[in-house]
Amino acid sequence: MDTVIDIKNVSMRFNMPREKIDNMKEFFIKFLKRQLDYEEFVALSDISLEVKRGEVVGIVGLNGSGKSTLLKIISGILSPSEGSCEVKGTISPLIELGAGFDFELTTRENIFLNGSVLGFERAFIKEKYDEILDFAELRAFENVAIKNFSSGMIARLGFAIATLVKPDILIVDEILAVGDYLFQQKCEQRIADMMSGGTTVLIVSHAIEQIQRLCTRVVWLEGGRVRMIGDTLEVCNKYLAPNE
Amino acid sequence: MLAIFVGVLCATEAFTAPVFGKTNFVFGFGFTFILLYCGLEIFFDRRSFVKDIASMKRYKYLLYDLVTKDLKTKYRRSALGVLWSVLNPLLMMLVLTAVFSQIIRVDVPGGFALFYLTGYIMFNFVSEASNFALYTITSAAPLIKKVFIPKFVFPLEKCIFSFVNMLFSLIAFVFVFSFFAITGKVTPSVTMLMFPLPMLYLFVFCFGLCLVLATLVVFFRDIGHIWGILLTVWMYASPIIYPVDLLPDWLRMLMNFNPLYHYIDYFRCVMVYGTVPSLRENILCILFSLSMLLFGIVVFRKKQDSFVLHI
Repeated sequence: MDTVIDIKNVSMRFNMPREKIDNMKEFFIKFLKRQLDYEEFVALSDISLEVKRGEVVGIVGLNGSGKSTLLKIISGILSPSEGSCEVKGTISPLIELGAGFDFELTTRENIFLNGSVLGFERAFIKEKYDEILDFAELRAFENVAIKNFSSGMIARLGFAIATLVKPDILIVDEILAVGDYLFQQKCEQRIADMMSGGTTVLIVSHAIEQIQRLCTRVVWLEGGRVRMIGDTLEVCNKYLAPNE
Repeated sequence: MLAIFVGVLCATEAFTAPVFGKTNFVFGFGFTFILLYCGLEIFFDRRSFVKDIASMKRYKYLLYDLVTKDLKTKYRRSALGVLWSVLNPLLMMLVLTAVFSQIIRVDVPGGFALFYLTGYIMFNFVSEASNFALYTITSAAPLIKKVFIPKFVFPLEKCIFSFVNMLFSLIAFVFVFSFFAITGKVTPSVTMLMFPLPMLYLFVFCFGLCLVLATLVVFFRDIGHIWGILLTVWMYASPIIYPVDLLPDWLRMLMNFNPLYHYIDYFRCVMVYGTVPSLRENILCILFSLSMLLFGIVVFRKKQDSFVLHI
């Protein structure tokens, strides 16, 4: 099996300026006085991870342990301060559903807009238009501005568009928490379909039960470092164990 | 390394001297320096550069969507809609013509109206596109933080949007020109068919400029405030409301270094005076455009990875 995601010694640091400097005068004065000091915030340090084709990898960890930062680096939104991250193939990042939705526009217009944000061809979206509406169960709201939608409806629409094509890599970041159990089942079914078709999946979730059900391998992050990588059951048990 | 650099500079200077004339050796040095520097930068980073170009194809629908969305929202709820893109330059021209041909008399061949309109159309494109482009990256923050999109899409979109607006204002030009042609003040000529050329030159130049501005604003919001003033300075420093002939010699010499002067002059030559600019003018325009574009690309690409940390 070949490696599709190859993360080598990735570190991510954010400069947190003590005061916000965004004008030139202050910048130059501070620069000349050598007062440009930053507090460094290390979100990830020295992470290495290899994911093979077809694997389903869960990422667990407490809030602020760097899970989302890692996913953002993999999907290309952030570039790491150190190390390298190589990804082979197309990625569907379900990091935040409906990024690029314009809340003033209708469902119909948003499907096309979001489709082009994700880099789909227009003709392709047209062809799949009905499928999207049906999957999101929003046929009755085709011409309603989505500002009137509930968060569950928006998530459904976003999921339906983002999972249109079978990507090589699917990244899922806690989005399955929204939506009722029926829709969650539908989402899981779709993810399962993709998995059987050879898609590599990365899942971040706080629902350990879900991770246990889906994943073949689990990464446990703590404070920006890898605490444990390994078999799903083993890692989950350790993670959930009260005080180790 | 430095020696090679200076060597190449001198060699190109000797080579370009016949084209630009000995007096304008600054051009030779300037262009060579910028093109060489940017060329090397891109060359050393060619793998990700090629990747960026490839992604352009994938996101052409996004570009198209954003431009149409902008066009739709620009004239939403106005009774005359897109007609304003034609009316605006017309009305501006009327006001300025009233002032400059009746109150302050400026004599230009072909009449002040056409003279001004051609300059205005060109300058307005640069001013509009750059003003929009200033905040493209900062206002696209919600998108940039959530999904991966090649970031140059945003300034490019604004340039295309302003370019479309410029095409609309060409309609105003056609009206005014036909009016003067009927009254016999000007005669239409075949050179008018060359109009896309100066527009293309200007577009490339303007896109480079927009890339630089969009990058700067991410790190220094001040640029947004000063740019309006700089634009006004640039407008008066360009021959839009006055012909270059009015200037003293030393100012005319300086004018050569204003890229807008060359574009506007080019546009006027083919549109109003029916003359074809010389090869030297063409080369100059191309070099200005190319230098600005490459410079913009290099600046933008150097900084685009850290945008997300500053917005």
